[in-house]
Formats: sequence, C-alpha cells, structure tokens
Amino acid sequence: MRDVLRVSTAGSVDDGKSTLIGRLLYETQNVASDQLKQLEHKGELDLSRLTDGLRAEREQGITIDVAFRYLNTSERRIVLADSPGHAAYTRNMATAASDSDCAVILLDAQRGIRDQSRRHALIASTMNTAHLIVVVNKMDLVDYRQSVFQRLEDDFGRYLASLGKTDAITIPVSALKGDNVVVRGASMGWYQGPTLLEALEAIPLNRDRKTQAFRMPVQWIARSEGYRGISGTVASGHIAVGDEVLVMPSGQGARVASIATARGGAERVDADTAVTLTFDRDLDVSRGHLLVHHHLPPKLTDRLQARLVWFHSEPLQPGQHVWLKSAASGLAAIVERIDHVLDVDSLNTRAADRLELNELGLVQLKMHRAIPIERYVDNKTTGSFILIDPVDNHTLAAGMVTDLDSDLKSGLPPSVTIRGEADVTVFARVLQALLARHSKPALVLTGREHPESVDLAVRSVGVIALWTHPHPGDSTWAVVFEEMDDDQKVRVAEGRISINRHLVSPEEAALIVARHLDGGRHE
Amino acid sequence: MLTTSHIDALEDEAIHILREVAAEFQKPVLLYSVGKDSTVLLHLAKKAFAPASIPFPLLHVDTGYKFPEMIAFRDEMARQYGVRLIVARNEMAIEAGANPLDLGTDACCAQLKTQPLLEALRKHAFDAAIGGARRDEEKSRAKERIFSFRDQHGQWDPRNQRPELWKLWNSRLKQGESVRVFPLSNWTERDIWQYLRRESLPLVPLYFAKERPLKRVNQQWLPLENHPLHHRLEGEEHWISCRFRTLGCVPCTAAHPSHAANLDEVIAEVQAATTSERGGRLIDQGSDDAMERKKQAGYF
Repeated sequence: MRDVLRVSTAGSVDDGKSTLIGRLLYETQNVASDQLKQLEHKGELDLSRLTDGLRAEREQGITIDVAFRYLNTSERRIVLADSPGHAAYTRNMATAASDSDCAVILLDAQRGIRDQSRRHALIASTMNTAHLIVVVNKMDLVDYRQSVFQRLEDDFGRYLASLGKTDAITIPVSALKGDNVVVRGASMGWYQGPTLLEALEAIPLNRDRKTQAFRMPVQWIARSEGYRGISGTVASGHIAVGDEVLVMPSGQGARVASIATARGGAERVDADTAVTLTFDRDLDVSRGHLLVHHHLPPKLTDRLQARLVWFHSEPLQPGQHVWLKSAASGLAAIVERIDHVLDVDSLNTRAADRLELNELGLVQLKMHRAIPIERYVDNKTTGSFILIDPVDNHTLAAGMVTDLDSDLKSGLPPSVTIRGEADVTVFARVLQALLARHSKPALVLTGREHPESVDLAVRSVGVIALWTHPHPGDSTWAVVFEEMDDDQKVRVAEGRISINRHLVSPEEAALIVARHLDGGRHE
Repeated sequence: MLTTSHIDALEDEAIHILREVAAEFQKPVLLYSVGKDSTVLLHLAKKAFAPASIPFPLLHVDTGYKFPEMIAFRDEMARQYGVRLIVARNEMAIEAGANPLDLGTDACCAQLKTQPLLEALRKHAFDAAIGGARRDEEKSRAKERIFSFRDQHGQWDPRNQRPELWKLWNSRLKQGESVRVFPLSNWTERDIWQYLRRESLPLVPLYFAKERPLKRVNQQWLPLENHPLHHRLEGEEHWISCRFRTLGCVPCTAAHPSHAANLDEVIAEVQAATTSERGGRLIDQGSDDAMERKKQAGYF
C-alpha cells in the first residue's frame, strides 16, 4: 500500500473554503496545539484562521499561491493543495490540480453555482483529475433543506456532464457547524451518502497509472565499479525482472535483470516507485531517454497539439520560441499556431492570435526534434510538459498533449514520405527503392496486429519495420524488430525514414512485403 | 492508529527529487545541519544513488557554538557515508567573540550562519543547495516550493517563484542564480520520527533524555554544559532529565524536560501530544461551539 491521496481545493475567502479545510484538519486531529491557540477569536474557535495565510498574502500584495496542508486519517495521508478560486488565479488552480488524484469543488448552498466552482471543475477536468467531490457548503444557511441540495446537485451535475464527468460524489455540508465533514451530525437525516472524510478515504489510488503501459523516464545513471544501473521513477504501469523494455527514442531493447528500490531488491514494482534497473545487455541510455514496454511504445513526434494554461503576463503569440520540458526531454520548440482560446466560464471557444495570462488555449507546437510523447488522457506523465522562456527562464505555461502528428516527421535525408491514398504499387516501389539504396532500411506500417509471416519475412532480410497500432488515441507503435545497427536506430528514431500510416491496410501491407521478399509466392 | 504506508511514497518522492537535483544542476551541495531531518536527508541521498556514492558534498555551517556531540556526530556520519564534508565558519566573527547575548539573536545568526553560508555557496559555486525544511513546520512554509529559486544575490522573491506542475521542475538558471531544494517538503515531523525508527538511523545523543544541568531563563530551560557564557545566565542550576527537540547553537537551544531515553520513547512522546488532542476531540463529537471552547480550555 502506498497510501497518499493528493487533493486540490479551490475557492475564495468568502465561500467557506477556509472553514471547511480548517474543520477537516481540526476534526482529524491534524492541528498542533500551538496552532489551536492562534485560532481563538473573541472566545470562539475560528477554524477559517487555520488557512488565513492566503488573506495575509493578499494584504501584502504577494502573489496568491498554492498552499499545501497535510492530514493523517486512520486510512491514509491526504495532501491538500489549496488554491484561490478567482479567475486571476487560474494558473494557481492549474498548479494545484496538476498532481492531484481528486478535486473537492465547493458550491455555496445559499448563493448557488458561481463561476469559481465551474472554473475549478473545468481545470480539474482539463488536468484529468480522476475523482471529483462536490461539496454543497453552508447548508446551515438554507435550513438543511434537501430540495436546495437536490437542485444544486442536478444543476451542477449537468455542467459536469458537459465536461465528460459523470461520476462525481455530491455531499451536503455545513463546514461551520461540522455536519458531514468528518462527523455526520443530526441535521440532515435525509442524506445517506458518505461524509467528506469518508469520501476522501474511499477514493481508489492511482487506478489509471497502474493499468497503463510501463513508462519510465531515465533520470540518472548509477555507475559504480563493474555496475551500471538506470535510475528513475516508474511513471505508469509496472515492471518485473525478465520484462522486455525498449529505450526511446533509440528503439534498443533489453530484458530487466534486476530491480533495486529504496526498500531493497524487488521482483516487480508498480507506478510511483523509485527504482534502479539493470539489464541483460549493455544499453546506450542516458537522461532524457524513456524506458517503455516493448509491446506498446509511445510515438515519436516533433509536432503536437496541446492545451496550454498560460502563466505569464506577456501573452503567447504564434511563432514564439520556447523551451519545452517533458518528463523525458528538454528541447527547443516553437508555437506555430493558436487554434483557439477557451472561455473558462462559458466553455465557448474563440479564435485568437494571442493567449493571455490565466487563459486556456489549444495550440500547435513544432519541436526541434522528435521525442516520445503521448496524449495527456493516455498518460499524465508522458503527455504533460511545461514551457519555459528560453531567455529569462520563466515558466510560461503548463501543457497537456491533445493530439500527435500522425506522421513520423522527416526533413533529414534519406527520407521517404508518401502522403495521401497511395496504392499498393506505390508502396512496392518505395520498398524496392529502399532496399536498393540501403542495406537495412526501415519501414513504418500500420495494422491492428503484425502478422507473423510478415514479421518473419522482413526480419529475414533485415528490414526494420515499425507497425503503428490503432490504440486509444492511436498514439503507440509496436516495434517488431531487433538487431538494428546504430545508424538505423538513429534514422528510425528520428523519423528520417517513414511511410504514411494511411498508405495500406495491414492485410495489404503483409501481402506486399511477403510478395516482394518471396518473389511473389504468396500471391 | 497512524498508518505508515505513506512513508514508502514519501521516501520514493524524496529520492526522485534528489536524483533530479543531481542530474539537472552543475554543482549541488547538501546543507547538513546534523539534526534529525538532515540525518533522514543524508540517508535518502545514499539510497538514491546506491550502489554508487553520493554525488555531492555536505556543507555544514559551524557557528563555533554547536554542541560538541553534534560535531563528533557530524564527522562520524561523513565518514560512514563516505561523503566529502565542507565546514563553513566565519572565523573573523568567532574570533571577535560574536554572541547572541551581546548582539541579539538576529544579528548573531546573520554573522555566524547566513554570512558564512552564502560565502561558501559563492566560493564553491554551488548552484543547488539541498535542505531538510518541511512544509508542515510553519504556516508560511506551506507555500514553499520544492525547487525554491534564488537570484544572483541569493535572495528569495516570493512574487517570483516558479509554479511547480506535475513533477516537472524548471531548473534552468542563469549565471550566479541558484535554487534551494527541499526533498522533505511533504514530510511531517511524525513521518521523520517514524522513518528514523524504521531505518534504525543513528541520532545525536542530545535528542534523548539524560540528566543535564540547566538554568531557567525566560521560561525556558537553557543548557549550561558547553555554554560559553553560562556565567552570565541568571538563576539557579538544576539537574533535570531532559532532551532537545531541535539542535542548534548551545546558547539558543532550550532543553525540554523529558524521560524519553530512546527512539521508541521519543516517538511515544511525540505521539502523546496528538493523543491528548484526540482525547479532547472524542468528547467533542457532534458538538457545538461551547464544547469546542471547553476542549480548547482543556488544552491550554
């Protein structure tokens, strides 16, 4: 069990958020006695003061920021990343939500659904926060009426559904009086669901990350006498001794020989574990590479579409040069186009030629070289990045990949790219040309699976074939080949040799390759 | 009952951060203060890079007022972990007899701690200084970054902190700029103690109770042993079983009456504070404000 739940909260001073968090910390005995002393105000315990750091900040004119608080329950450690709710702090909300498993969204029972509740839900949904808990607070101000709660639950439920979120839990709460925060209380007998604490304790952890394909950005090479280990943190999936992995972008493969963790050696580890791996053969690998499961490697691309949350007071403009940092890579990139800007409150999109501070937009990015990257919805670690100003080093934006360029990008010779609906004869000519010019060329094919006959056939003449896989997001390949020489690996990795994935059906591809290699015997 | 399953997660997170620092910066250093948090940090650094050795040195700022047990422990740890130790001292100020009684604590700290620290960072051109600070220590630290950016003058500008998304830290620096990195940001004091026990880590004996000569000054128990200015302290000498919760300079470190003589007893003591909170709460469930006040009165 690795029981740490990360929760984002958001809201302003007046919506009872401070009182709610204070109540949660206080009733789970996570307030130190010296802190409690400071909460006494006119003879009463003012729980909102536990988090009034934000208010002090505002008075001092300091950037209102994300505050972290910790609470231990009998079940787990809960980390609260707390941010202000106003539109001017959307970037702080995004920061708090980025690494959270759950978002607690506040509604005000008296005032109804306000912009900041919608905004928090939108950010949580954009950041792909797995779980949403909607807290209808201040139920004491509406006489704990079920009808008020029901209406808000329905209305907000419709908004969440428009964001694609249909499994939120909604809880009626009075943070001031304490009902349904930690203790159920007697005022809302009509409510049968969990209290906020019960809901937080019941959330399953890292469900997605554990079921995804294995990914591990290489952080560090541990070198000791006669020892070379690859260190990193498993970002998704799991890895076991004996598993076959690939190094991206080189495509080199090896089997895991040993796994070392902070708790000793292991046969198998899950996502979030810091490990040092050794392999059954020497691997040319360094920081910036990505280790992946050999069946489902991510795509290499130098062009992508992404949603950005813009952090800087200077707006983004098309053509802007940036430094892109992802889990596996850091490299120069250029924002080629702004597709649209999203209105956070209405969810309407509009065309724009700039992206201002705190705005969300969809952009097209072109990178200096191809890197392994995935869609954010497929993998949070390999699908996220930050943009940095290459001159003054400010963090400019948070980025979430929404789409990859479907082609392997070329640009460097030798390169073969066929666009559009090319037919079988075109493909055959390309293959012939490749074989004529290169002793071991590489091909990129598409298919739901790679037929063994093709696999064997191309392997026997040493052709490198990368099969693209229709997969959620169509963003992964299966690499069929081994024993490539270094030059080929580089060429494949950099996408210098590529054939459009729409070229032929898998069946046709199999036929063509087999025909070509076997002198037509398969006809 | 407090579960400990989250300790593995905190351990892996700290190791991840330590590896990022080693990989992303030219010349990192670990600020080693000899205390319990430093002990945890050093141990995590060993695990992060095992079986290779820790790829950065330790830096200890010695004010000349540290407990002799701390200095002995520091040297022993550096030897055991096989890591280079750099000791920074403001010899001129020490020579001139700088002390908190005459200068006041702020000016004394500035001369004996901050000044030699900044000078050492500059002299060795360290661009990342790893520290053991935690966000739970005080309210203002709750907003601290894991990678805390400092400008060319070593200054911290809260308005200019870099947002930290996912686990993607912006580590790009210009000449002369640096970061402070806090791998234990998400740990609480209880986590530190539990980890010390789980890993059977050694601690400076000052953390454990023993009869020591103390004087009561301004409602605090001040240690007399090794106190360079103990003759200037008013009051009567008492021998009291006590321990130290945090370790600093002898004149500015108060003792805490205690009988906790080993790790288990210290942990029991740390947890006991919470137990009383919990005990107070149990009679308070489903209560109104009056009950809360009552409980509060019970606390203080």
